[in-house]
Amino acid sequence: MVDMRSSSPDPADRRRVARTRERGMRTVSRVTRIAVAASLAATAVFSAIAAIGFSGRANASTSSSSGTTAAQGSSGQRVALPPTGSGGALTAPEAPPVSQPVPVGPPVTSGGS
Amino acid sequence: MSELGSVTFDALGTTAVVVAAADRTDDARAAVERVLASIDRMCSRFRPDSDLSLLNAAGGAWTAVDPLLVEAVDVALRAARLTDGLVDPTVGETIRRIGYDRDFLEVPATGPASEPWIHAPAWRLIEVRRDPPRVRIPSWTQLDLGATAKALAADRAAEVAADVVGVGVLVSLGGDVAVAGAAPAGGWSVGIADDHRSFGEPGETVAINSGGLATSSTTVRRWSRGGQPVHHIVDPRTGRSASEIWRTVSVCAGSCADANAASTAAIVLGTEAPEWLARQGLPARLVGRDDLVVRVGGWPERAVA
Repeated sequence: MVDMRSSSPDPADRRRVARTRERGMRTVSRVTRIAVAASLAATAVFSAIAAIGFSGRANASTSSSSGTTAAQGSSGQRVALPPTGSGGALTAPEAPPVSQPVPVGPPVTSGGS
Repeated sequence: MSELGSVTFDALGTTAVVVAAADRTDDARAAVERVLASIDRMCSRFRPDSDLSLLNAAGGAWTAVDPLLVEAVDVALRAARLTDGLVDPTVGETIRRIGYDRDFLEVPATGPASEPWIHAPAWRLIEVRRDPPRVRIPSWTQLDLGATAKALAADRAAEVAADVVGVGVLVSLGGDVAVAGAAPAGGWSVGIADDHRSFGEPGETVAINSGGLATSSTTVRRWSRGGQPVHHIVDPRTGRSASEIWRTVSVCAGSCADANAASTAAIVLGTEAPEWLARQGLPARLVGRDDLVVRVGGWPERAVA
């Protein structure tokens, strides 16, 4: 017959086991928090690198439903955006033209063609 | 700058004029011709072997093209966007239907009328990729880069020629003028007329130091269909030639491409054009059918000798 009492840990052993388990749980918790924080930090770093290295380009069609002067059928159609670096307005000259009473130099005419 | 010289030759179906220091005009012309040959090879809708013709025949598929055509399409789309579609590179089918379906010298002077071809603003559906360079357009439309590609050619030719010869250069392509490099004292002298071939006729003259100057006119490239006069500037909103509110519109801008977009849009806009041009901050001169001249945006009054 087996003596059941011999298989039951004494109270000191139970407390030691409990402390060990709690230390283990705290360690796992700390490691988890560190891992989550490191992941978030790495995500932020890689996102920043990607944003700088592969910034968005306006060379593809995107959605738009804005109306325009020539708006027939424009609703919901895609807009081909201008190339990167182009401005949002026609560029004015550095200075307006100056009137001359007579042409100077070789004849050049701006007219319809 | 030493004394100026000029050379005149045919290019891109119109007249090209190159002005530079007299001893550099030949080199400048050679540089300009190289640029124009590239533009013609890529952007002509009358050359079956051009990249533009291949794109128009692609049936809506992605088409590998030269980077130069990508740039030309970019310039055309910029013009379309900044003019709210008044300058639309997809009017190719409309222009073909109103009779301008071949080199202009071969267009019959008369012919039957055609129904107006009004399309949705297909320029919004054009897709462009740069690496590798390719373009896709709807299968039911045709690109016509005529106006904007000519102005782009003037800009590029002037820049390249100025770099090559090391002095200031003026390039005029059918009256679309671009300048680059150092300007001569007093600026580059340019006469303003209905027709760019009006060399030496009395008229208004202005001087510019940078950028571009373009003139659009309803008095040139005209023919007749169904007994009605037709001209080459199409209103995408109606599918017909633009109303002839203005006979001629001249605009100065930071580039010839922008000047051309503005002058073409002004012809199409009609009565609203002066206010629109003023809002853009662009010096412009508009001549009505009744010869009334309107100046906006700092365009100078005519100087009297």
